[in-house]
Amino acid sequence: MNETMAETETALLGDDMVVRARTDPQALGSLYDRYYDKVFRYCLHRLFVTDVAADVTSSVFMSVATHIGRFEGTTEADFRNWLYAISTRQADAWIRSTRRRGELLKAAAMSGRLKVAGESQSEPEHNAEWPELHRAIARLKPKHQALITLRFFEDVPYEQIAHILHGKPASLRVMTVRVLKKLRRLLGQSRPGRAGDANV
Amino acid sequence: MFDSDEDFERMTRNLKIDREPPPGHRQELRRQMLAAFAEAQADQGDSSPAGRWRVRLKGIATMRNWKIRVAAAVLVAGLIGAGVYCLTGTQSVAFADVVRAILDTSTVTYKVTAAGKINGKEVPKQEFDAAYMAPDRERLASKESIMVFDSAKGKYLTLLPKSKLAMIMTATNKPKDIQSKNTFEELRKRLERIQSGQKENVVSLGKKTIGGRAAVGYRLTEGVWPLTIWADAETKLPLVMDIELKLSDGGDVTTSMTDFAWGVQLNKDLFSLEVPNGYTLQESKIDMSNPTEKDLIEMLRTWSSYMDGALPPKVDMSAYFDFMKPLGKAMGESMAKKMVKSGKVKAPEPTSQEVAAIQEPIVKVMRGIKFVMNLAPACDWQYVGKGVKLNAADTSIAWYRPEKSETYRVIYADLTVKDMPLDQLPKKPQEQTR
Repeated sequence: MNETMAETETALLGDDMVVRARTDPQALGSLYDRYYDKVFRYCLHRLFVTDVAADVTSSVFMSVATHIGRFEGTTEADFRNWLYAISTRQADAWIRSTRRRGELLKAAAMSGRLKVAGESQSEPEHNAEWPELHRAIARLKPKHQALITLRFFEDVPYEQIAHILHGKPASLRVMTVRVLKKLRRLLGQSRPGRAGDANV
Repeated sequence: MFDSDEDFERMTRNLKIDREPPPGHRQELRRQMLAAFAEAQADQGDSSPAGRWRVRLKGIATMRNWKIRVAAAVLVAGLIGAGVYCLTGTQSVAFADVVRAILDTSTVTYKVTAAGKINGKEVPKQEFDAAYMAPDRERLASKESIMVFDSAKGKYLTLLPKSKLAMIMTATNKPKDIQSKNTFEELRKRLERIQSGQKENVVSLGKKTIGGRAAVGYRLTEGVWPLTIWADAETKLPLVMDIELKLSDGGDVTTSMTDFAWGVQLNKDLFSLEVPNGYTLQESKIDMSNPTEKDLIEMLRTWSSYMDGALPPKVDMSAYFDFMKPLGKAMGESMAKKMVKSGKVKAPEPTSQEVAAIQEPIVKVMRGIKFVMNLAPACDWQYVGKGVKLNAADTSIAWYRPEKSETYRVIYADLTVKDMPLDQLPKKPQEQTR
């Protein structure tokens, strides 16, 4: 019971913060502190390269700073959805506008010339799956990439993803099944010795 | 490989991914974001007195320079009221640490945000990037102007980069006992007085987290302008300082200082009073002497001359803010006439005389208010001029007892003043205001 009350109180505080953040830099700063990690992580999962994820995270929060004065949401959930929607748009834009550069970056990352997420020096042997999986995800449509990342990497419920990607939860569930099937196929193709390998 | 949703979920959960952002990215982005936010807010409108005039004068697009000039004039007028801090309190060891940390630092940069409610209406925020260099220099920069205060020299420089205009105001008649005239310096003096053992009243506010830092809070409850300090529990240096100005109409204006960078290296040129090449210079003088009863009378006369003869409902900062409305309107009309006369869409540059003409009534009103603010409680100031017109017959509007005086000074609606013993004073109304 107390836990529930504490959660309710935290949620109300968050809501209040969102309303105040339209005009109050302190409240905006607090929201930033609360969501920086989430946004960076989402961008990293979408874009793979740490520095690129940091750049896109910067674009996301600069956009928030410019537009929050006109943000009409009143709850922290509204803000979270808005933030993920901006992040998704920015990540998609980066992928679209720098497709060729993105390919180069990924190739460079794969060849070890760049530091990428997953390249922990102490445990390199455990990370082989992540670059391979990311290469496969990167071959999906941007919307599908966002869906998979939000659902499986960020643990966002379908109801919330529906707000972020402007869809219906049921349709997104069906779409997920289809996308996972495709992903399985892509992963199969990307196994060493198979055609189409690493040509992401 | 995975066979189902659950498998895939398990797979993603078990991935070893280094999710650390680049070093320093989080802090740098936070700074950039808040700077961008401040800019966006400024673009959406401010409402310092100049900002509120902007709304009133909407449609006269070429008023920009005037508004800024008036803002500068208002700021200087505000300075007249700056020397009113007085403080008492008790000192805990921890608070002493905070004071020491502030006094030990000779440079600091910070952000100033002023906002509040006046006459029941929200006043939108006004923000400045500020820098202070001990002992007596302060700089305030906004998108439109740069202001440098050098208290030792008694000079205040305002630069308007877009119109290449520089204004220097020189303080005259400054009393020897009031040396400092910039906000941060006053704050330090106030804290210095506490450190030197002056009787004080500091209330601990406990702890909280600000921007991820553990902070301890203190509130200085006495004095004309209460001050709240939230200091970093580790470094003892303030993270947030709020100076509150309570108005008698129930409104208040809070000036918040945030985003402090203590002990930073600052170039002295930032505080230079030299006018850059290419700027047109306009100079004026401002009387910084202690205001007297004569200033109060002049304030009442000036205020009513812009208010169809009505006397102010109160003699405090709300009267000052009320005064800005008709002054802004008069200024707008004057500029509109000038534009029509010149046949140009863009208003001609105001002359030094025109700038002084704007500044003069503001200074008069502010000095009168400061006279009342400076009166000690023992002076028993009473004001009953609300709803009274200037020159109303046989109507007393205020009275007070000067220090060391046996009798009261009674001020009438025709602005004459008479000495009167306590037992002959007018009856006090139910509602008394400052």
